[in-house]
Amino acid sequence: MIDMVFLLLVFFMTVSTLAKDARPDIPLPESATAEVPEEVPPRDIITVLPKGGDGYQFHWHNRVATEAELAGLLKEAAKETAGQQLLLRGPPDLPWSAWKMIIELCREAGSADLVFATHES
Amino acid sequence: MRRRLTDRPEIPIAPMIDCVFLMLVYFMTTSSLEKSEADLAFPAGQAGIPADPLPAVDEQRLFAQPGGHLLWNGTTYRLDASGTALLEKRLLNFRDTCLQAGSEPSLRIEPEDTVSHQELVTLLDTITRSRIETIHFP
Repeated sequence: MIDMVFLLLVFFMTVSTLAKDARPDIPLPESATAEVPEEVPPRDIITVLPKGGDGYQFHWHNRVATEAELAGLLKEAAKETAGQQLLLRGPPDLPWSAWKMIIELCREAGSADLVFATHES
Repeated sequence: MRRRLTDRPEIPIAPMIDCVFLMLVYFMTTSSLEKSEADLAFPAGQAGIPADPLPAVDEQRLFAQPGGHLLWNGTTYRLDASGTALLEKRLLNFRDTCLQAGSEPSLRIEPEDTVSHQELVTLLDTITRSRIETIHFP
């Protein structure tokens, strides 16, 4: 029994992550060609969630931001870490209009290296 | 008094087992088996930055519509298993034709506002499989 307990302990110690991820927990679309990166480069994370009606809620890493704040944060990030990758996260049912808005903000800020977060199907 | 030879020193393992159980319960309650997030890259483009020198580009426009439909060259494709297989085949043909003609195959994706993220990802998957690397969004 002690052997089993040790085995379970080692399992949970290896699979659990102690560091809290700086991103909201949301469902993601499934992709057949996306790959889990072996080494994740330093990158900024934008999460978009639908808010009642036609609005959206934006998260810059784990911080809630308005559209205007997000535009400012993107410009700031583009100045400080030019060329840094930007990870875009949104649920499968998020409409294109939300991404259109974000992509426009990214273009204005000069961020061109964009990546969608997905789950492997 | 002499100690008997059979008396061997013993390590008390009961406190260790208590600790191990405590740690086991802690990790079992705090850990969550989450799926890893995978990256799907796509170009955003930058306004006002011309490509120099300009390559010979053959661009096609793909209109993504809500409900998992795609309009390309007058044909509507469903973004399901059979529809994406047919689309992939035709995109591969388009790519080969462009390369044989010495031009670069390019796709301009124009989704309607209500097209869902999952539909867009499925379309990007199909384009990735067709090995067309140049895509644009409006």
